[in-house]
Amino acid sequence: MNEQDVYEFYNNTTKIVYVDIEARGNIAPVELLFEIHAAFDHLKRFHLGEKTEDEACQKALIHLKRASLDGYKLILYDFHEHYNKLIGHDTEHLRMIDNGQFLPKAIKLRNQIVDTARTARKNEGVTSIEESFDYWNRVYALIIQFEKEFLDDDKIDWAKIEGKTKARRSLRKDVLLALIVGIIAGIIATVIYNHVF
Amino acid sequence: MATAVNAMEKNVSSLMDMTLEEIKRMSPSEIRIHIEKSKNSKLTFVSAFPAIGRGNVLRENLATTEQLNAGVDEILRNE
Repeated sequence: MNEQDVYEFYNNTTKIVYVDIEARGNIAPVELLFEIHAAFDHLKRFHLGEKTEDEACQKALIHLKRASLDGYKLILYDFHEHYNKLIGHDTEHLRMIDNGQFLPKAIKLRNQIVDTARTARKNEGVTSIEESFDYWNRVYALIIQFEKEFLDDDKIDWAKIEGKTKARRSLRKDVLLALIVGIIAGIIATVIYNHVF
Repeated sequence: MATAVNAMEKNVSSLMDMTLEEIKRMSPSEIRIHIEKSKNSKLTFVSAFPAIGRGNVLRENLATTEQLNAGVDEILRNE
């Protein structure tokens, strides 16, 4: 292994994952920066004569791989928060979207994301780390699919408004019905009272 | 596999509104400035521990360069 390999991994994977996180939330997680710092420190050992190029680069690459995997986990974490916010405590309004298909499809895709992520996590050991990256890339693609299909603000806002409108109409109907029943009951009570007394 | 990898490359390109090659050529500072401009706010350093990471001594005390400078200036003023 040589430095070229390390820089290529950094440029093609670590940097892309890092920029994704930064661009989404305008944040820089220090844990990722620490791993990149650690990689840098290993690389310098080759140039200062402390380690061979292969030794130094192997170690550096492990840190960059760790940073990249942590990045994927943060993206999953972020998705999890968005999903919980979407589902929340009240899913009534979501059942109105796409003829009731929205919610079951969202749950199904979310479950697929979680299952794939579980497999990715299981493969994070040194011998199967490349497979882990394959699975994490799949998790990412599924998250993007979820964001496009189910985190459309326009659809959800429409459903919330429709839900509130339906609830208001239902409340008005109930109040009117209660009023009519009350009036009728009052009339009947009056007639009975007048008849008896 | 190519499709899954391309999903991130495509999304990052879209988030940054530039090609992947441009992003790869940019320095961290240039990327930071670009995102801060588009978000109209400063980049925030955060600790994502314990979601990730193996221990971070700065967990509760992340400070920006400006805060550090202000803190040091205050100390020096009082000396």
